[in-house]
Amino acid sequence: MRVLSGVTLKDSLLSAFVSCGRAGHSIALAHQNDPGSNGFTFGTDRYHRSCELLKDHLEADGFTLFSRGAGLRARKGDLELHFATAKTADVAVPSSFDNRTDSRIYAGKINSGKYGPTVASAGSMLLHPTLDGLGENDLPSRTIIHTVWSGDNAHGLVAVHIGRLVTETDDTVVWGEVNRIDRDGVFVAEAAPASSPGGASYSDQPEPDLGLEMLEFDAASTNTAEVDARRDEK
Amino acid sequence: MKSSHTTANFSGDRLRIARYRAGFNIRELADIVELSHAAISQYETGRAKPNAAALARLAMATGMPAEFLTYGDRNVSMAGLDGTHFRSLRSTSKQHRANAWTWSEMVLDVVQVLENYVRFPATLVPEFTLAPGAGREQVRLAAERVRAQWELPEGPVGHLVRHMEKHGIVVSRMPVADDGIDAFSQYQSTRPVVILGTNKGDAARSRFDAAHELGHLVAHPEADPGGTQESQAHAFAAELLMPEEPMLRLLPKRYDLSAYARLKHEWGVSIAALLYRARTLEVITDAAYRRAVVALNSDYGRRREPFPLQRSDDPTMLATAADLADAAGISLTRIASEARLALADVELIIAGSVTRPAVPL
Repeated sequence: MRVLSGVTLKDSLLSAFVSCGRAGHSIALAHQNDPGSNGFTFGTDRYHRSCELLKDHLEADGFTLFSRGAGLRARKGDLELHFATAKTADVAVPSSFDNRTDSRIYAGKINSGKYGPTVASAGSMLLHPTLDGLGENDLPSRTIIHTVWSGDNAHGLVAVHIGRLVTETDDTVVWGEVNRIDRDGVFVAEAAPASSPGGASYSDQPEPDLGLEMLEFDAASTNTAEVDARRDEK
Repeated sequence: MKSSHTTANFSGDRLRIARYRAGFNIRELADIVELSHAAISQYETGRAKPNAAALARLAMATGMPAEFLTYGDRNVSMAGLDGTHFRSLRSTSKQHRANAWTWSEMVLDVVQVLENYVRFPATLVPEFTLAPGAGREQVRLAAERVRAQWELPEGPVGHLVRHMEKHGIVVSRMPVADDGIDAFSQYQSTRPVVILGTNKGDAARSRFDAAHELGHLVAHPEADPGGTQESQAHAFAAELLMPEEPMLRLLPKRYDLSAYARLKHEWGVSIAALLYRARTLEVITDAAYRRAVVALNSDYGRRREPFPLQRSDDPTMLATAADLADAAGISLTRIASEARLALADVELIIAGSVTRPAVPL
């Protein structure tokens, strides 16, 4: 399914994002009264449990998994998946979804093309600013999208969103595009609008034939008067 | 040969074109050919004709063949320079515009000759005259009429210049374009003509220029340089290349460069045009538009927009017609001779319509 402009993921994987998030939240809820647990540990607990449940699905779909600190990352080609949690279904407000963490600002800068074309090696996340000889000629080669599980320790999972963060200022990010992929905790396949309603992009369309054809004339003649006569006939 | 050297067929309008092409004012030309200022003026307005010696001197001074000045098979555009729509800087002088305008007349001369040998597409330019006060809805209807009559797809417009050529519009690039002139068009003669400047490595901007001039041909049968025609043609181009209905759904509400870049490559328009469109359609606020432009300029500079299009919409009709003629034994030299133009000029005109591979800068 086309989940964001320029980003297509299998429905089965998107369904797993929802189901694993729901299961992870349910397990975290069940353990929130364990010794040592509190309202703060619920937040990290639901994240890690959801991610652990999701790993097999990601690998089955061809993603390479790695970690940055405690965060799970999955990469396939130029697409990189990050995962996050929010307090409410409204992921646009900073009180629900933190828009100032370093990793999100980094993702926003990548998506906004701030670093120019990048070369990233799986596992090391090396970032090279614009290389000599490589201008801004290509589309941003790498996209980072976030899957956000929204929920709290009273209701469990309440919403799942997928979006692309972009920079707002040097210190904050906003959603360039974000779509909800569940309804009442169940995956709903509603594709993002196709960018070209009429079909092919401008450069993919066939070029119209001009239909030029030769008229009959005496090619050997170099007599301008004859040409003039032809002109008069016209 | 027809009596091309005789001064009986002398055309004052063609002398004016030759003078514009050489970049002289009347006084400068008069000094060079050692005639009075009044004499040149009388030649141009048809009140007097030069003798054979003066004709030769005029031809030599302007760098045009003498036959050009006595070529009576095609009248130059009646409304001339004043009937031409220019997409140019306000600071561009009339002399520069006049110099550029001569290009369109020479293109028409070449077409006139080529049409003796090659059947060109019939001219079909939809008419939808926009009054000076016409609003966005009228402009939208004008663009819709073009889409309908030309059977353009609902989404992005493909090779716009080729579509224009297919419907009888002669399009040429001016290889020696003045920096201040992006494009101009006129439909005062046998065929509508659109002259595009060099694309300056920005195919998206050149596509917009072509759509802008198409807007003039559709909506402005008479040029009115001081009026609202430029803004209307601009709005027409935006509506044709970025129709309102899909754009309202697709334009990002935030400055998301990668999303804008993808739209640029799908729709064949610049990020700057998309941002402006987003503001016009009130998808983003004026303040958000300004912030986005500042961010874009600070990251990439004002002159070079990032993620340039890989394909340039270059005209091909004249070059294809010349190739067809050449294959049938009609050389470019013969075409130049029949058009009474210098071979070098005809070569430039034909070269201005050859598809060249886009070279990313």
